[in-house]
Amino acid sequence: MSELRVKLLEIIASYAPPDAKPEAFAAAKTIKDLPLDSIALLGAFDEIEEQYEIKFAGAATPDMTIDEFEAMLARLIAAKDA
Amino acid sequence: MREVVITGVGLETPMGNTLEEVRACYLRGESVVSEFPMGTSDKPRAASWIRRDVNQGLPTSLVKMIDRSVVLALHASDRVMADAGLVPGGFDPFRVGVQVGCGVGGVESMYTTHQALALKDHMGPFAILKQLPNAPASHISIRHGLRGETTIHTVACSSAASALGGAFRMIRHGYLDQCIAGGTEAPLGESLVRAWEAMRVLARVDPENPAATCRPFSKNRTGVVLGEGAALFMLESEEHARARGARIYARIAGYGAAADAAHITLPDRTGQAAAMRAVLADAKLAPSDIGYINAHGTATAQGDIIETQSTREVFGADAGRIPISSTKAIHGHLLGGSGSIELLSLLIALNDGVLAPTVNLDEPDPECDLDYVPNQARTGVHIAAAMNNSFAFGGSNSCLILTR
Repeated sequence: MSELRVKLLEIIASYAPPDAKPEAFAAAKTIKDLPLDSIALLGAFDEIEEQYEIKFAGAATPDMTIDEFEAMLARLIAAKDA
Repeated sequence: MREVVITGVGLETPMGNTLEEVRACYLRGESVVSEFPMGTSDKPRAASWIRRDVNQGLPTSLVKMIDRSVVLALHASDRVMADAGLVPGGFDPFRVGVQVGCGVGGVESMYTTHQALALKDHMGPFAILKQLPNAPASHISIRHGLRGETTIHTVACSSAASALGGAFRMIRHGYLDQCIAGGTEAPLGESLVRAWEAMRVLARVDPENPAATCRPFSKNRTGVVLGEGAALFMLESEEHARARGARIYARIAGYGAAADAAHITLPDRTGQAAAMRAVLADAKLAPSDIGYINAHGTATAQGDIIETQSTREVFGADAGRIPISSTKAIHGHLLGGSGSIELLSLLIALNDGVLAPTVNLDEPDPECDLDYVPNQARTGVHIAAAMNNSFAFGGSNSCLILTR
């Protein structure tokens, strides 16, 4: 798992309810598989945007895979740092 | 009509989180007000504040979307549920309600939101949730699975008293069997503190002794000292409480409320007196039956004098006989939470015979000439009925009477 994905899942997990199983994050294939409700997910996206100083929220859809999500963020971060 | 009793207490306060700690605080005659550092300002400030990291013990995901006033309320709600002996599956959730008073609630969170908007053009997705006025009551309901009527009372400094009165009436008239009721407030952020300062309501900090800054009924009083905290009670029908063998702390004998209909900030003796008469009538008690009063006593120039006058008006010849204290000098003014933190002094008076003192009362104002229990708690006192007064900006006055 890439360093970026570990960080992303760490942020997302901090918005999950206490009864969410830790393995559910690594097992999630798409965004909608993550064990968070929609408002919590928005909170996580907001923190990711703040932390990496990027904007993506509208582009992250429920059916987007975690791989696609990570790749999109990697591109945005690289563009910002370029 | 059913009798209503108190069967649980839950606290998160600067005095401590148990009745024993609060009683010890009264007995020491010490204020928990202290110097309060705020932001980058070096202006001296005093407040009563909770030093522990209150976010500990709550899920991080929850803390991220709630105001501090909700955090304090949730801790107090855990304790009141435990103290009352309510465990999941052990009660009918549709018969247990939540009535919470909160005067300013998420206003500080709103300020932080607006700051981010102004400085960074950023609006977080939790902005609404953090400001939601009913959040304290709703989060308690969610946390404990309580499905009875759940309401927030926002009546400035009478909020908690209004919540307790509302819960009392709901149980008395059979709408609920049990109800978590009380108040919470966390007003010690920069925007709120400075807003109160701009209104010139806050006391000048005593540079030698910040704990002596709040001086109700004193000649040298200079105003309000803010505080934070939550105090919640389990109200219950007596029949229900006895059937399950619950410990009973006290009986709520009556609730009375009345409006000044006069001015948005200046208190009015007629409105205050009307609320005191209303609670006496509701409790079917005479002024001579009251053995202790916890005054609103905010230490403002006008407020303390007018409360003295309204008390005299209602209690007549008995006014001078009744011990009255303002515990705000000890724990600060919790605004919407004040009516509940102050109810603790009634429980302690009725159950332990300890009357809370009005600390920092070295030089009484000649116009505040009642027995304000100066500086030292009284012990070994036997009283049968006690009254709590809450008088709010906007002229909303609420009074409660507890009996043994």
